[in-house]
Amino acid sequence: MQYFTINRISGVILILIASAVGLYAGTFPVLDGGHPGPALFPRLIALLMALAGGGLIFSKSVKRENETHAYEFSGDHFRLLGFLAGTALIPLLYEFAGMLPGIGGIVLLAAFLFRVRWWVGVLAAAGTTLIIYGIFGRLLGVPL
Amino acid sequence: MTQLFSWEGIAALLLGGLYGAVFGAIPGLTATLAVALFIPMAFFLDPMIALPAIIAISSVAIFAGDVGAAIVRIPGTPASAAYTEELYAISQRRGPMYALGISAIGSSVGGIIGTLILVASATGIASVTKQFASFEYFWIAVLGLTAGVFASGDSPLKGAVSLLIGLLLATVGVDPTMGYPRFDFGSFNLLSGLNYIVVMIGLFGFSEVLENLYRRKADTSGETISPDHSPRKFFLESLLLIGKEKWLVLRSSLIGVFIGFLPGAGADIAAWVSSSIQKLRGKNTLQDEKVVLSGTTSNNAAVAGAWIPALALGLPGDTITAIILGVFMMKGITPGPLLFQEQPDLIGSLYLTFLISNVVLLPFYGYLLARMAAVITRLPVPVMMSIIAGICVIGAYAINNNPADIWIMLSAGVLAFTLKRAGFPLAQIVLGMVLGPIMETHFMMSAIKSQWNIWAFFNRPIALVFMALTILLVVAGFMARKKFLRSKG
Repeated sequence: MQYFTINRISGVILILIASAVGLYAGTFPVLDGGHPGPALFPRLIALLMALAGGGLIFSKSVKRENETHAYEFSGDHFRLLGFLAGTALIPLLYEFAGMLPGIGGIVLLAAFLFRVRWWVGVLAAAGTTLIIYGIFGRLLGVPL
Repeated sequence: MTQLFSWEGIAALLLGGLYGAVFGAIPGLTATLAVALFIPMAFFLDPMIALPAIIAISSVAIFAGDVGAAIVRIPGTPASAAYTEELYAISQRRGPMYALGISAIGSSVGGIIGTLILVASATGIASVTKQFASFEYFWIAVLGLTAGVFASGDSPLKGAVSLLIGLLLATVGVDPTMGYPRFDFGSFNLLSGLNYIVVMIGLFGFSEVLENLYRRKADTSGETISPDHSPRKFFLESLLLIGKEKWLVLRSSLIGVFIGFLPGAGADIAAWVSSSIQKLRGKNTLQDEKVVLSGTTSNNAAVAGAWIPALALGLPGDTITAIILGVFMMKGITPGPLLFQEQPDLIGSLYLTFLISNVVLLPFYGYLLARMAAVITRLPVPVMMSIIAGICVIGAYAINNNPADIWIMLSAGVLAFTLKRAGFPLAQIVLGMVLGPIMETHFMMSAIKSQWNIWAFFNRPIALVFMALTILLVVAGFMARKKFLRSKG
């Protein structure tokens, strides 16, 4: 996808977000004497966001030399979504098994998705879990 | 003073430095947390041992934040986020020994300059800060945000959008004026706001794992790094660079000390302002070593600078000195001008510890960490990315011991992944999250104090100076942009 198309889409999304923020901030209370309170900054940010969105729609930007990943949309969606789903499950798993199985599991899942040899993945997961247990669990007393 | 050179004193410095190095290098653990966790131990130690140990912890931890940034593009502390992209690019191109050499020796020189200014002018400089009120702090925050917009270089508009996203994220949670919950959508986890360290781990670390998973082949550019572990690369080449850029180092150190001694500011903002100024002045490429040098010099100079108001006025310059003031109280020491007359030995020990930390500990632990980093970067990228996934999860969780923070980290990672595809910079989001609450709190405080007379923001001399600097920065930013566009044809 060409970068000016991306900029236009980004501009439209920004204006939509800005509108939602502005409207939601309208429900916040005001200070005594009618002065703006908690809504002032969110509304100001929304206004500037909408302006920036408009600017993106109507301007052309220069592509940075080192933006190697920018504007690329052809990748492995399956691996990405699988990993995100796995990470999202960790807080739910925490309720039943604590944090350590989740950490070992996510390292193992990532290794599997990266197609690392299975025993290397198991070693990486076990090693990482052990080090985290030592530093965070034993040394710092973080409940794992 | 003799206690500092006793075996207990030397052990406290060495162990404090090691402890700071570990905390700074691990994403999610900050210099502030390192000092906070040390306090129960400090309670049982003599102040002449405990306070030098705290200085060693904070000095080394602020530098060690660069280690994660150089190896895996995850800044260990918020102070390193300002130049993470540049440090990572240098590490990829010339190896972590060189990248961390610039960082450690630059931090060391910044810390030494900061210490010398602390020694020479603690009481004098501190009296200037007494003039600062909420109006001045508001303008300082505006200046920092403006610098961040133009530091994004090729597209200030995209930099501004990232900054606005950061500012918007900072509004989540209880508002500073009325205590009204904003954008919490009824969730208890959002009520206390978004922790910017959790967001930072997602933006820089988790998004890198997503990036490598998304591309069909993992990025193996890290495997081409030269395996040169020589001290020459670490010490000599960075010293040569510092010698060549002596004025930049001096300027960044002065900025660091100045921002450090402003109560509530500190190393994070110092690094941002210095590296942003350098980005405006320099080539603005990711391989710009001067950006890293300016940021890393400045944040360690700020560590010393933060002690100026703490010692002279009893006002904390940053969160670390706020904890240290608690230690002073615990030990029955009252900070202020009288401290210099009543406890000259303690003051002398503190000054000497700053010098030892910066001259000996920083280069020593810096070299050890760089050697470890050089070994770590030789791991195959897919294995390293798998391990980083685990570190991101524990880093996000350990900040508040809250598993829901993993979802926030994950969302920040997805946000960064999407923003990168559309060419938006990420570092400005962190800047917005750090400066947003400072700007809002001081604006509301000033507005209420002046009964909403907006003119009050423009009729104070020091506030006017900061406003003039902001305008100058905008003009310089547009001129730099014009030059950049011309160079691109």
